[in-house]
Amino acid sequence: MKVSIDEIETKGLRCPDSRIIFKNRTSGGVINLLQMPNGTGKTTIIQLISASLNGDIAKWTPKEVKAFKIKTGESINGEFRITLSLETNSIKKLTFLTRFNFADGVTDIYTTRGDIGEEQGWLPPSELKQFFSEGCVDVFCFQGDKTKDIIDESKNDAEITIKAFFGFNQIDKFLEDIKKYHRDTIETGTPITKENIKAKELQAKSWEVRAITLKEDYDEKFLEKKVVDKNVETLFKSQRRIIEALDGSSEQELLDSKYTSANNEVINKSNESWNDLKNPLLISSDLLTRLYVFRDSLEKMKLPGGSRSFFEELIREDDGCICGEELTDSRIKNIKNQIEQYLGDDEASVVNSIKTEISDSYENLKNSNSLKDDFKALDQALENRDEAFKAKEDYLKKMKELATPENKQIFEEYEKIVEQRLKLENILKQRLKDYVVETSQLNNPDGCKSYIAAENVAEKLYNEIGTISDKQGISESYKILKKVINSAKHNSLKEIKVKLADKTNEKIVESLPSGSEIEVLNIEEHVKLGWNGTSQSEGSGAQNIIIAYSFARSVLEEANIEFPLIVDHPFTQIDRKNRINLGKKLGSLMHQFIGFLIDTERAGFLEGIEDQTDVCYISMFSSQLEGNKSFIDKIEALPSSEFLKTDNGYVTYNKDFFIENEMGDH
Amino acid sequence: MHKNIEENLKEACDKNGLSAETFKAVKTILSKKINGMSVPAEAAADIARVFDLMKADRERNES
Repeated sequence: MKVSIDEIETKGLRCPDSRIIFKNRTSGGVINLLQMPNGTGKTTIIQLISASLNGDIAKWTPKEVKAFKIKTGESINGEFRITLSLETNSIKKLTFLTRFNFADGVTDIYTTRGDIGEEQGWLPPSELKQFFSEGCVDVFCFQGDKTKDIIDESKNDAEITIKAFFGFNQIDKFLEDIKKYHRDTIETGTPITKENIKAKELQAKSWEVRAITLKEDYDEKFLEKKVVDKNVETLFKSQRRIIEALDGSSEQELLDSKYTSANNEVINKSNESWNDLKNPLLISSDLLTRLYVFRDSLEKMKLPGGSRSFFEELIREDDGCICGEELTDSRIKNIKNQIEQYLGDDEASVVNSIKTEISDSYENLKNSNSLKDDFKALDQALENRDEAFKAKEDYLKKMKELATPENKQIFEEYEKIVEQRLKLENILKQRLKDYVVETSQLNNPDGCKSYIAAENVAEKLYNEIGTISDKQGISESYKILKKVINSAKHNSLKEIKVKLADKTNEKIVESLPSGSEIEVLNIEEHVKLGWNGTSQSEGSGAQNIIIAYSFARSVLEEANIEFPLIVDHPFTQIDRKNRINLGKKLGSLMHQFIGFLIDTERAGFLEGIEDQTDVCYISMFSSQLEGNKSFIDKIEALPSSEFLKTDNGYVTYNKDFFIENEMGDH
Repeated sequence: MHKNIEENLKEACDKNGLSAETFKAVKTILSKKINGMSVPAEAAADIARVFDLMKADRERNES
């Protein structure tokens, strides 16, 4: 299946009114480059594309809707239309039209699927529905720093993407369906024991309700945190700009990097300590000594196994005793009684392995101070991190004092929002805590703050009810089916991650210059990078981008679907040499590339794509801004068929205009 | 449904004593779910059928 963007149309929104037609073709790759001056609506357009494709646009809050209103003018309505070409078995064209009502802060969505007329609602074709979701759209529609999110070890974007693309979210929903079926059926059962089934049902219900309430709260807080994260990022950038103006950038970058490496060291040392803590022989030297004593006892057991096997064979062959006498039943019985004291071959080999393991462990660990050393190193790492944190805080305080009253406000807002984020993180952690509720607390669901723990109790109680009612069979089947689905889910997720890591590496090799020492080590919740088994948190700007594109392509290929690659500022963090290299490769990466770029990204990249045959150069700008006067004069000098003029903007596909006019900051 | 999911589902069904027919029924529901083709109103009936098949599997395995 293949999806391409044919065109988008905007009216009355926070970007010039326009109709942009993107180039596409049935085979080979096409590069669409859209240049717009900064602050005139690039991000707005990408947000609109992304939200139309994943359906978020229908769920926007009034505040979010109103944020898309055109900055000038009194219009209370706006419109965004996106038309897609589909290569599926049924529908060939798909259009999502969103009408904005800024007065009420609401959107109305209409879908046109092929020959079926316009229908109200966000209605993607069923065969594509699983791909038109947040986790999927995010992988081919890169907004902001998205290229780094999949390799960020504090984020789980890579796993979210994989789960969305391969249907794991739907498998989870199926598990929910069978859980619901089980509980609904259990409630119709009649008791087969004298136990008070009704009381137990009420208790199970109360825990189920508690779990739902806590899950709803978790979802709400999770969305709240996403907004807070965005605000933290914006305020962090503003604060950084202020500091750069006051003191240059090197000091803050140095302090940040010192804190990051001190924090990584704490994580490493914690992991080492945790691994050693899992080894009981390191915790107790007494245990180690006693194990060695146990080994001595094993040494005294009647070995070898050969003697037992010999007699077993003798009885089996039934060819008389070695002494020449006949093997009578009573003699066989006697031999069997005697050989019981000896170990068989398999048992002897297990005992020998145990003895060797104990000996090795004893020799390796008898003088070990590993745990003590671990804790000492962890203490030191924590101390270093505290110091790095304090140095960072002191520096920020100093900068805040030097800032103007207006800029001080930014520092304060940043402090507040970071605090708010921390609070939200703690609540989210609490809601997700997986633990067993104590029996004494079973009558107090309100005391539980974790939806996972509450759900565990509900599940346990419903299972108990199942075993004491005439619906035992249903409970038994439910347990097995849950086990089967979870096992299939767990194992296939693991296998798909390995496949994707291999595929991503193949594509990295194709796209990066030879000798680039970076690869995907494995995929956990994030894509873990490194080289020759040694991990690293990220690559260079160009490497990170290639890795993100390679991962996206691998996921799409494995899921057997093609989408356009849509990127905001595709080449900002890349040097000139790598831009040339990437420009040359771009046409072969995806069937349709749509890049929103500014002047600073052009150097090198335009040289790189010079030899590409299918490039669509699109320039778009507002006619309402004084800074665009020179563009207006030049575009008006073109033949009228070469550009589109709307009430507040211009669009042209003229290559020379694109090359000659650099659009960036005004 | 991705082939790794299908293969692992088959393996898990075999390991837990579920018949080929039960595997097929579970696979059909899951495929419909993943492909966005499932009808909520039919969900309970589909699951009930799987549970019936599992009951038959259990009885067959016990005898």
